Amino acid sequence: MSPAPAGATGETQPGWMVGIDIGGTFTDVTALEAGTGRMLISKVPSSSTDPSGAVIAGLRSLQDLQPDLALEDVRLFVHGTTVATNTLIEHKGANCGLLITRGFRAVYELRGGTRPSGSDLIDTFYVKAPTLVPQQLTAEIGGRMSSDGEELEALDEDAVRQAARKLRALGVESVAVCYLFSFMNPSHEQRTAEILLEEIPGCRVSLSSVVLPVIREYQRISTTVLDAYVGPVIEGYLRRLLGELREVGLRTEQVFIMQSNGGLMRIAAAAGFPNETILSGPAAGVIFASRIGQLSGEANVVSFDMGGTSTDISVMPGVAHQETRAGQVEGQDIGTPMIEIRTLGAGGGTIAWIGPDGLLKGGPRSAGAEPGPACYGQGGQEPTVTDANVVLGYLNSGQLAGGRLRIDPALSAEAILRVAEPLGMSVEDAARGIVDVVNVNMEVGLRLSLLERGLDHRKVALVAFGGAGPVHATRVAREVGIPRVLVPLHPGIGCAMGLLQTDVKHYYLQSRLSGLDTVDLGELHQLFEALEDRARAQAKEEGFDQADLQLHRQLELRYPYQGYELSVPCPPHLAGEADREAIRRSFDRRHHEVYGISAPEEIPQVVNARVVSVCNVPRLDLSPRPLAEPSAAHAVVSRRPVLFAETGGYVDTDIYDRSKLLPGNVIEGPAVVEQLDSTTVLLPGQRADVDSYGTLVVTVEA
Amino acid sequence: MDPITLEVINNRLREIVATMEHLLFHSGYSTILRESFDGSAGLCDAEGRAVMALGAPYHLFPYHYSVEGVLRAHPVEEMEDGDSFVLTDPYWGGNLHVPDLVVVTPIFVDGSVIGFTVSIAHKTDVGGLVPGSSGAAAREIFHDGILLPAIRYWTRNGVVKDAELIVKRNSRSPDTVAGDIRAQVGCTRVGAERVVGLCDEYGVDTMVQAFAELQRLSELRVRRQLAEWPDGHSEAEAWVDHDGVDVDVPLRLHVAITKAGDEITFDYSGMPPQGKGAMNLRPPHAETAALLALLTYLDPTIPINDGAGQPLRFVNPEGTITNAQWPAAVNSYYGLTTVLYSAIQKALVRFNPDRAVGTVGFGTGAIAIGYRSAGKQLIQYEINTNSLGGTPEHDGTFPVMPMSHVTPYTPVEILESEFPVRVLRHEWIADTAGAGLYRGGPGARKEYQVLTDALFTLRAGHQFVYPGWGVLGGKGAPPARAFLNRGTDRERALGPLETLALQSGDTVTLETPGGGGYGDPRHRAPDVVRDDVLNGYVSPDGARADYGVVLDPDTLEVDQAATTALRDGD
Repeated sequence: MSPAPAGATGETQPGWMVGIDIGGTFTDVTALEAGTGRMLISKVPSSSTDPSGAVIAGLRSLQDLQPDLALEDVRLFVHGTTVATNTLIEHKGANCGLLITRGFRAVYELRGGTRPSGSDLIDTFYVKAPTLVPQQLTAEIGGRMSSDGEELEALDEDAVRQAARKLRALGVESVAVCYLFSFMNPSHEQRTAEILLEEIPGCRVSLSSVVLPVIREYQRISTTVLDAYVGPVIEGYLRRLLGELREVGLRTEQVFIMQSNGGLMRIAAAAGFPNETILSGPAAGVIFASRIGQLSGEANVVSFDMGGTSTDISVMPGVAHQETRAGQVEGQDIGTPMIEIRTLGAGGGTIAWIGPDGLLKGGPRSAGAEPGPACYGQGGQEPTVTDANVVLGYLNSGQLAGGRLRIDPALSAEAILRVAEPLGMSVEDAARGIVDVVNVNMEVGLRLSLLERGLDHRKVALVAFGGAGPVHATRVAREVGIPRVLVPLHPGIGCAMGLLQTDVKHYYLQSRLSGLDTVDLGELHQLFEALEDRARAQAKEEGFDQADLQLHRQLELRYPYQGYELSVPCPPHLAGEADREAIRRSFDRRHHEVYGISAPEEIPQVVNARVVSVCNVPRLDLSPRPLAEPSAAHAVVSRRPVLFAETGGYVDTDIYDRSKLLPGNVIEGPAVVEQLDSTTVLLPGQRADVDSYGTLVVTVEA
Repeated sequence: MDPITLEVINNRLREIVATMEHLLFHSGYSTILRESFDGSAGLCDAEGRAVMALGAPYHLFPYHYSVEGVLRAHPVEEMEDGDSFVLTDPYWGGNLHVPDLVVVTPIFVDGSVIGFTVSIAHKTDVGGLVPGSSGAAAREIFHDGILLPAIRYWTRNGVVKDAELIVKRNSRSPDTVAGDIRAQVGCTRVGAERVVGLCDEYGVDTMVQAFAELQRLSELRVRRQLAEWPDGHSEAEAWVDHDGVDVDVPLRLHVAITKAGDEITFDYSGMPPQGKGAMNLRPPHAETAALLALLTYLDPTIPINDGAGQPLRFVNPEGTITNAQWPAAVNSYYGLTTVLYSAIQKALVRFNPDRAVGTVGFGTGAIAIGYRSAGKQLIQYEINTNSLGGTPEHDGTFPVMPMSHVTPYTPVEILESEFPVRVLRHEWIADTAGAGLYRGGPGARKEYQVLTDALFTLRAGHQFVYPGWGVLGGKGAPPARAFLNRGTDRERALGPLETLALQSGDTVTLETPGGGGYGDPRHRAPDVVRDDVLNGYVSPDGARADYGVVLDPDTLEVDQAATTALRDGD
């Protein structure tokens, strides 16, 4: 791709900021020069065998675009990666061992508290996801803590030693340790780590009291094992990447990785927190959407990132991303806090087919990058969403991605005929049907996501990005009743841009189950201080000045016997009864916000104390540009027939070139806006205003 | 209706039901709803036929019976927009036992009822003999808890206070029960509002037509698949230890299946008379077991609604254990329903061996421990899970609920934090998985020690003598067991249905069985058997006896020569 216009930064120090996000097919690169506001974007192919090679290729592609860009001048480098997820998909994690409390071999494999969906609920062929450590590499260790953290039975050190020797003989390189109630008293796990390191020198040890010191043993085992399984792989990858970055001349100390929680972490520190990198890429997309929403002054946004195989949706009340503790990656449960993202099996490559009930279905199968939609002419035969969009005129029938992809509409029509014929429909009606069915899937997912966060659809804006997001978002928003869609200037590289729009962030958690009315405030204060000490130590380790560090205390509460918690802020000094009451009421309010009800007569329980630490780093901040005249006539490059539900048939429609649009321009729908990395479809009755940041603000119900 | 509009409405209705379910599980109070998912929400048409539901599939037939029960007491002419009805009486509605409280809310459009939203959810306690309501000593339905016929519980003016007062006064956990009912009422009312919204969007006629079409599509899929099976007759039997009262008299369940064309008949004429204890079934149980078993052999992806049940015919004489007459107690229905479901699967093997599976482990059910602490009643209620049987493609999965594969589980750390109890172990037991080319999932041992005096009720089906079985050469798993104070001089073997007064320090040990095996265990690769031994699912002795695989006692390597000799020997 070429140098992109528009883009500036609030930063005045010279130098470049570079974000590189590895996706399934492409590695996206974005660079912004502080001061001048020059911005570069580019894409290079991803490589599953050599992910760091794609990062280096991405850096070099920047120099091809801008020969005077010297890597010594890069002052911030942020990376988004899928290495952890790929490790799970390809089953290429470490050979792990697991030590558990004696007598509890069933806990991990049972995967308690889980619930399959769809036909698995009744299918006798249902299987649970395989565990990452087999029983033969699992050892039971004597020793027991009570629910108060009192030692009921001493640690059986001999058993630890014997287990360690056996695991060493079996070539284990990474060991997870998860004992009951270790979040109340970690001493048995800590002593176990010492023995393990004596017996298996160089072994990587994951303690549940460090990885996730919270109540509920199954979630803790699963999360700790995940840490042990992907840890060595992540560690190796990051070390290699850092070395290669230095080798090609990157000098800056500001080298970060995006975490699943939406904050950054120094790459050098990330090896210790592999679980934090699991949703690295998608999290950056959510950060990007929230930033776009903030610039446009929205109160609440939903990110809508539609790519080739799936669509990621994340609901952000107050333009702030939400987190979940009940994450799942490739069937593995993970309790590490991460940005809440709903992934729907609907993308441009999603295949349409006729179900066994005779109804038209969309997905979840996708044509992916290989062979891709039929119209790419790479051998794809089955009709995809992209093919339907070509037939309907939404996508340019000559070329996409600035000519890198040739589109053959005849191949699209041929593929769609495969479903149109048996349904007794025309190709056009079937194409409309495919888009309708895929859209309704996304609408249902969107409404359920809004419901789960208690948000009114009339009070949100949809931020549409990813190659296919702006094609579908205007229709989806109209159906759901969302009043505005924001299409950012560069929708195709949202994740790479999001990498440059956040701060370093860590969570420190500790369970303490107790009624809010009876919890010892002094003890709670000590708990927070211990967590804050850990936060300060880590900030120091990551090279941050204590002055840059902001610490926030939170309490995680639930009503008695509930299966989940909610976070509320906790004042830095807990003085007495008034504080208890204030915390209780803020929890009631939060519960009402999230679930639509509260139970003010119930006394909540404290489950966890949590400290959030934030260190600021330089960010990409776009600057507004002055508004031009409303007329966008200069940007019309052609006309073509496009079919809309509102018009009932094809109408000759203006095609705009996004790169020619100026802030202040206004487009009335129906219209199609084309750019290198995406296409925006404006429906009849919709209107788009280009705002001062170049974002297309689409008014859905004009 | 065109296949695109119907698919769109299909998805919109699924969203509504998912919304109802979300509200149910997130606004209910009890651990049963929050951690065990023992509840459901769905949509029925104007005749009460189920159109769509997610979750607990065994609640689906009961929907129809329950709406009929409501209509019997309150004809639509007497209903008003804003009403919600509640019932707990299994003889009035179709709920599976008294604690499965049903809420039915009519959907009004332009003054007419076009359908109903329904929710069924298990209650922590609705009175009855013991904490948790379902006691081993129950002999009549009156012992199972408060019997509510279809009563008006909510109106446009809010909760009917008298009704709520009665319900609360009859429960050992009044606030939890009242909270859960509110959650149920709330979710059905939101669901009804959303359906009305869809009627505005698509027109009421289209929506009513879609209700019928979605049922018809499931019915067509069942018929089309049935037509592909050979016509014929098949019978199966299964044994049950006893009826919970006459503990020396085993019961023989018998089912005869006749498949002709695109219909299938389940004949329960060979069933024993209804029992004296609490394990009896009613037609909703007997029909649900048949439909779920049939779908597992036909095609489990067929959406379950009342349409899917249309091609099924039943011969179910009154007074038998599958059609018990008032006032028989039914609180322990789940175990017997599972055995019936498995017997039907056994009979279906002949029609479709490609879907044959070993049985799920028998002896399912629940425990309830009532503690009295500082004047408060605490009730620890846990649903047992059982491993599935081996299939033609893989070993049986680790424990789930039979017939509805959720994995209810209250974490040990939550139990020990909230109740005066210590969990001593939760582990697999070697050689409890039915052997086979593909073995069943393993059985589990869970042991509790109470730290105060407590009243303990075990309901584990009626299968401590007669276990499940394997299929096509696979072996069955050993039966479930339970013990009081195991390994002490006060050890006592427990029956599957017990209510005990425990003293502080007593232990209770439950051993759930594994699933049955699929195919001849001697065809299982020796290396795979060795792996099972290393993983502790099979003992070295079990490897030799059940699989004909001999392992070197020191290295646990496969002794190829001895294995070949042993396997070829018989």
